[in-house]
Amino acid sequence: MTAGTAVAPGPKALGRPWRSRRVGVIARQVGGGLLTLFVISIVTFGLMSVRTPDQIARARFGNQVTPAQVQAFAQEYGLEKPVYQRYGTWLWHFVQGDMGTSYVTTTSVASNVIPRFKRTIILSLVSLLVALPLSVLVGVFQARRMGSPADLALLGFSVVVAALPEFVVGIALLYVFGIRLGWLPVDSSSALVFASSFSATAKAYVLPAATLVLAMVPYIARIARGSVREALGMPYTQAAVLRGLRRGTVVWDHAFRNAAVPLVNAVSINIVYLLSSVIAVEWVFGFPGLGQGLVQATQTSDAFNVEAIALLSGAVFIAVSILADIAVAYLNPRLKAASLE
Amino acid sequence: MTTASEAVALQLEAVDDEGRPPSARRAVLASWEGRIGLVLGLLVVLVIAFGRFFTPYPPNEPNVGPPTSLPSGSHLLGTDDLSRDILSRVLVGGTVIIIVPLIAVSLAWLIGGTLGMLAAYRGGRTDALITRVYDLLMSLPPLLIVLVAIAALGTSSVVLVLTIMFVYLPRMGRLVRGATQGVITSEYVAAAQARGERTATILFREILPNIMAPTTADFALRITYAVIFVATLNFLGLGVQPPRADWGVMVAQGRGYITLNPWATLAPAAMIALLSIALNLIADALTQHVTRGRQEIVQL
Repeated sequence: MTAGTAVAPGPKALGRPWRSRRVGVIARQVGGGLLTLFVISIVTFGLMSVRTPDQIARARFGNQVTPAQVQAFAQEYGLEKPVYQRYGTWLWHFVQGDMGTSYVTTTSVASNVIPRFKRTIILSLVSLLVALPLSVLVGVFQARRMGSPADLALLGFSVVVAALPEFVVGIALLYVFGIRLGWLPVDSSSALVFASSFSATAKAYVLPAATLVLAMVPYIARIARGSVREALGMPYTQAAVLRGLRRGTVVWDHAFRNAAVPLVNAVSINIVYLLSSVIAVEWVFGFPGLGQGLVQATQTSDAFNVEAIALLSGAVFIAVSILADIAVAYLNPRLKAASLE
Repeated sequence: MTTASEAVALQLEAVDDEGRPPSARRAVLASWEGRIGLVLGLLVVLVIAFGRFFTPYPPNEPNVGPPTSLPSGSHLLGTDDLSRDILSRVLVGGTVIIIVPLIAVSLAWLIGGTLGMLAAYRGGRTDALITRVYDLLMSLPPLLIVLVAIAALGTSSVVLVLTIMFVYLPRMGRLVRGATQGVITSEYVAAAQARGERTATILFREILPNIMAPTTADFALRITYAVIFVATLNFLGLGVQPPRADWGVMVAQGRGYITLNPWATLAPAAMIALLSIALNLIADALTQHVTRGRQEIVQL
């Protein structure tokens, strides 16, 4: 909402240099993102408030709770107040960094969520850092040999892997590398929480990261293959070849530069969805991250934990989308002119 | 927010050699991946539909053999920790992951599509309102919203259907809106308006048949995603609840004793894999037919 003043639409804005308009667009996106977060917080809090204090108390203490106990429980956690009041209090504390105490686990939400958050960020970053260059290499490799047996084999493999749900890929990797070969830990949880050495910690990341990489590479490589192929057939590529430039220069500096635009576009549109597979992946390997925390909190209807994780991951989703948008605009000069739309 | 889905719609003028709009059936049969997908898909659907009549043991009956035993003559895929027969459970465990997506995506298509057509046809404020609501719904991370809804409302097939419907409704609606905009200026629409046809007649008799191709491709794609989505939810313990036999649930439970009888996990995982590969191939064939082999970026 603060963004409304940052962007002055109208003919005047067109005269300003691109950079300052771009800042305005980003400010508006951040404003929109904050608004989305606000909607997420209302939706989650509203939905989680459907359950009555009675139901919550029963879930925690068992069915034999007396009405007096329920009342004391409701009083302790302020559950007897109206929803909007509870929401206001919760939000006020949350923006100050106080995530509250879960009334399911009776432990601090922050101490549960923050370590999980760090692990999931590391896992996602490692996977992205492996997946992006790998997809580009695979895509360019295929584009240069379009129709060859190697290309078709990779294509078939990627069609199959891309079709599989992440948890099926994860189970397969777990069975082969964790159980059959015994190279890597089957359960990331104990390896991460009680890890004694760096190598033990690192090993716990390998299989979850590999599963995420396998979820992303087929999708991105397929688009890279198509767009690089298209760029290789363009007149500017032919011109570069005729000028006698080295093959590597032609492929990477001429063809790939231009192919990168649709590629970054495709990745940026879907990066958020590719990353949400982290939830299922963490569950397969018992990886104590944000996704596992969300599923656990969902299964136990742990309101404060669900809300904290929903807001944190929502914030990451929005930040990633905005960063992806910036990357797209940065790479594509044609969008510079249209960025005001 | 204009995505490839609207670009798909622009390929509408595509007609086959005899000047007819492309038919979904022939689109699938024309390509190799479509044919493979169809055969695989039929196999899995046959297992789901008729497997229940060929179970060697009652699927939910415990103690029909030794616990967590490896495959043997009397139990072809072995048994689970409660000594239930894995093969029998695999044969009945595919119902939910095909039925729930079918209902949810059909509802999303019916409601979202009708509103999308109406938005494009009416334009103006109706269009602005519907598009705004769609954009708002699409800005929420889907898996997150589904998980929160399940945390609040509990696990049941109805919750599953409704939440998945809400995930796909705006996405399918936007595609139909884009496709409708592509044909709205056609002469047959103007002719129908001149005849004084009602809006509903124009939408369903004039416009709908002409946007079927991109819509069908999108429908197939959404079914594919939804099947994976439901299988994943079941695997996470947020969909179908035990003791009911379901492939996703079986994978999750079998993971606990995967060293004792890996088939309890691998067999249902393989069935899910076959189904999603088949659906993906069919959806791919349809999409490529509509886009004429042009590469498109589809928003997941």
